Amino acid sequence: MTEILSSYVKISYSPRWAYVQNIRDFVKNFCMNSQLSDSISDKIMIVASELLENAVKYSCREDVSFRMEIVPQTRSVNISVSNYSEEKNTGILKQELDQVNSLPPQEAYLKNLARVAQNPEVSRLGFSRIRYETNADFDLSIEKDFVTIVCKIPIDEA
Amino acid sequence: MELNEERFQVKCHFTQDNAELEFIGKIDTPNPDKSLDPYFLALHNKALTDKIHNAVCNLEKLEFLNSNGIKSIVNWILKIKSSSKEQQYKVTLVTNQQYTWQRSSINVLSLMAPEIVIVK
Repeated sequence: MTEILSSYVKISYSPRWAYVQNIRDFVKNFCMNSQLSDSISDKIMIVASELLENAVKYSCREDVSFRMEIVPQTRSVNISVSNYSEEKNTGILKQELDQVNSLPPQEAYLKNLARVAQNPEVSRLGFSRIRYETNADFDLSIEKDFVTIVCKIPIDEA
Repeated sequence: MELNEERFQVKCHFTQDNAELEFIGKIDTPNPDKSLDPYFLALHNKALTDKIHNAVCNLEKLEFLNSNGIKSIVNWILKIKSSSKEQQYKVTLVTNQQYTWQRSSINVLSLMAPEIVIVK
């Protein structure tokens, strides 16, 4: 079995959609270089992409921080994304996460897919997708208008 | 019918009973309502007019799909589901096993509407 390397990366960026694809591609390569499997690297790439997209959509200032750490001891990858956001959006964010966490991952995702299809104005599929596809845990902290979401993704495949 | 965006392309060819679609590139659009949604709506309307039985979607060259793209596909599937039984057609999604993300991201679509979606 190949040893997974302990490593981390931090990126600060302006909330532009074009940067999401750049960072997503970087994340995939970073994971592969750290000896994570192709399948896990793809999952981490999806998590990063969904969180980065959310940050771009809801940022109200020119500053988004992304941090990813591979932790061999806990067999996990931790991704945190911080950004400034308007109060109405932080409230919705908390509500969405509570909803996603209140149900088993598959049930939450299927319910969300049906919900967004009925309401074209709503998107926010990302959290339920992440939880369904990776079995990740979320931790949310909100200090006034500063939001940090931490996602802990297990790297051992079922 | 073709949809040509900067980072992805969808091609569709209608045969007598089927629609054959090919998805190419990375669907990571922020605005599916301006590209994918109207495309799928036009496709669905033509599928109803032509009374097709199956829409075969080749995803072998689809490198990435964000949740906005998933939402558009789900909207399309639910439109089929809400059509009358006589008008409904199947959607067959042909995946590429080399893109490991497709396993979970695409398979879930068949859980949503197993009577309509088949994943290969």
